[in-house]
Amino acid sequence: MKRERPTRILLVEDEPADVEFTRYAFARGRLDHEITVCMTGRTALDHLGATDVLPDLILLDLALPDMTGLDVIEEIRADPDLTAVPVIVLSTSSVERDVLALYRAHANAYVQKPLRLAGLEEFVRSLETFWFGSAILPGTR
Amino acid sequence: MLLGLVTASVVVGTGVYLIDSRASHRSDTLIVFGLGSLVMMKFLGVAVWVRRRMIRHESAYRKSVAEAERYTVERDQAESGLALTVQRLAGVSEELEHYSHAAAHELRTPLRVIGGYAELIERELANDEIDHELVRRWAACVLAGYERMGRRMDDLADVSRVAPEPAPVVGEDTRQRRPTTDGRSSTRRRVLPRRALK
Repeated sequence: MKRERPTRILLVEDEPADVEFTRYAFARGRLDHEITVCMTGRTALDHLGATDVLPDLILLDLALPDMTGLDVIEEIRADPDLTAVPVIVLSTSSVERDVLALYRAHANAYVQKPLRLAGLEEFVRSLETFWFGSAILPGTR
Repeated sequence: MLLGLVTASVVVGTGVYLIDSRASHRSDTLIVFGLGSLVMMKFLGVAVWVRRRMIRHESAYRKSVAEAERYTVERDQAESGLALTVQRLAGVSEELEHYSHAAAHELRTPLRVIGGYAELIERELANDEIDHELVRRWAACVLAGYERMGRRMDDLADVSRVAPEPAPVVGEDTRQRRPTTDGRSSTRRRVLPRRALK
């Protein structure tokens, strides 16, 4: 889990409380990380288009004020420079239709937002264990 | 018909007369004429009876066909009405499903906010050194979440009362009614794409 640089996470989330909870959960984890927050889909896409440093992982809320997470991920997957960046979709919905649509759009995972903070911390720990422990992400070796 | 019978009798009788031109006695000719007429009349009577039967059967057949056609039309109308009803019921069911999901989402989000900040407060209070300012801020967030949840419940109730049909309700994002930065409540509404509830 030891990495040469902080893990870059792009959090696309319009709910300030969720941003605070996510930051809190990561802060209590073991991962050296940097979180960039975009509160709309368009600002996230603009950020990804403008930055020279791509995130290691994108945490994407499904319902954003300007567009859906599905729209965002479709644009990400259509961009050759971004298509390899892992995207985890976070949503309060567990509707099969949504889940299917996001996986068809090549989301790497679909996670229902935990109701409790402890659940969010558990999710962050699983991220650390799997995505930044077991899995090999592009551009990290 | 009578004219037909007479004509037929005359024709048959004349024919018989001509064929039987060798008959020596006129009375024989008349008998033959009479018998021929009777046979022809019987034949024509049978023909008339058959014709009447045919007309009656044809009438009954046409009536049956008309009834069958009417039944077919009524059945088609009933089937199309049933299909329409089934379609509408399916639509209503789908709308209700979307509505319930939207409602669940609308209530789940502030509930998570309330629960999350409450947990943060609980953890902070367990520390030896309590950051009272932080606790006050989180407590304010809990109250804000509580008020937000109340507004959303009111919004959902309003939507249920106002909407004459379920269709406009689906995907209603009541978050658009959240207070704007200048403190006024926005009444602008947005219809979320059905494919992606939060």
